[in-house]
Amino acid sequence: MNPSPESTAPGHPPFDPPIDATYTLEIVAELTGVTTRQILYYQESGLIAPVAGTFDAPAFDDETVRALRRLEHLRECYGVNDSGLRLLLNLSEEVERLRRDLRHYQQLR
Amino acid sequence: MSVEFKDYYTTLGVARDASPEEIKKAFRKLARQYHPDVAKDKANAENKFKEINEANEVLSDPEKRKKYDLLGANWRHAGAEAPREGSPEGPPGQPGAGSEFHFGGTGFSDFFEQFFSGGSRYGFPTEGAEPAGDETESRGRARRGSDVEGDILVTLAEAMSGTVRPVSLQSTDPRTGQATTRNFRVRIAAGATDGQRIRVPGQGEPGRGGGPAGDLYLRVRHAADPDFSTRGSDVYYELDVAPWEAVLGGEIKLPTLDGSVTLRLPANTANGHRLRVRGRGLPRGKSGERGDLYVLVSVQLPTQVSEEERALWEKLRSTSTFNPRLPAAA
Repeated sequence: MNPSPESTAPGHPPFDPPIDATYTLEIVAELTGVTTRQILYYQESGLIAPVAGTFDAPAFDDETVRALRRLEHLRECYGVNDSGLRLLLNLSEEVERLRRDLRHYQQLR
Repeated sequence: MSVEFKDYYTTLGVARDASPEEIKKAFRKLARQYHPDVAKDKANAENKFKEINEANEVLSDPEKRKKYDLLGANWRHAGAEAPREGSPEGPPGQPGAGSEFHFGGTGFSDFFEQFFSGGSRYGFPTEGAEPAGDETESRGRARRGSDVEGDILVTLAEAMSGTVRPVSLQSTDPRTGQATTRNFRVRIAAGATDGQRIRVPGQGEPGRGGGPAGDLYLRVRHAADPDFSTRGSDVYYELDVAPWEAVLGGEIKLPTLDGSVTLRLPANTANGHRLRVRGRGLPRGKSGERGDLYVLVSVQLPTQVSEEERALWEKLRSTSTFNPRLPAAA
């Protein structure tokens, strides 16, 4: 597991996030508090996608961890159903992509 | 929280009705002057560079600029409502749930944080939505704290070689009004791309009833640079060339994020043409691979010509068969 970042005091190593870390289904369940069954269901519905592994033993990355938490947040706090989750996920991904493009073009002359 | 109003127009030295081009020009000029790589007084220049970048971040974005202009002198009053945009009351029956967050060390000022990128939950506007029935049903039940997201400004030099940044996160418990500040250092890996998120485990909102704390996601924002812009691991550079360089070709020395390269400009290079210098972009992960440097050719015309030059252009006019308004000869 990752060491917890604690202090700026000398002697405390900085938090060093692993690059391209992947997690098993069980670890993701532990990290997010979402049951493995629910994660597999999200995967089956196409709301999240594994970065490696097989369908039954998928490997996920930090972006999936974030996506799962966002999905659970929308479901718990706003009562969004599956179609709504799909819609919101796609929309926010598209907005993020368009904003990134916009920033790129704004920086060019 | 006492926050100082930032006059971004003064920071960039432009008028309030400045055009996007004027803002861009002013930013480039100042960014070049205070670029941490060239300035003599490094510490001072770095602060100034960040201030300029922040002003540019707001004024070059039409939406942010509109919001900023609307705030005007009423910014202090407007601030209270700003994070609740689109949902003035919040969900019914859940007044002011959730803590407030306040970042330090991200490269953005408190003022910017408060209005444009303050710690949001799950990347959604902070409005304190709580799970239904939270107060009664699940009282005492362990619940995980929310994830918090915020931006961190990273210069291209930092993105190139990686860096360690001290970050602080202050959270205020709305029930007790008590503020706690946590300090930590985060490594920004070499090659961090714009928009990339860094997950810092356990530094989000504290859990309740013994539940675990949420995570903090820091989203990398590349500081605008006077010379380079990025897209993923690729770096873009606009190369100004003279008309004869574009037509005749030649060798041109140009800067990169690490040292300079000599580019062979082919003859008859069109304006806007894109040339690729392989492997001179940002590092890509741990593999040692790198993105590419794209050179965008921009043909510039002289703004004033001497008598002698004028005679040469006149000679060219009488000699050349080129007519840009006629279809190209078969």
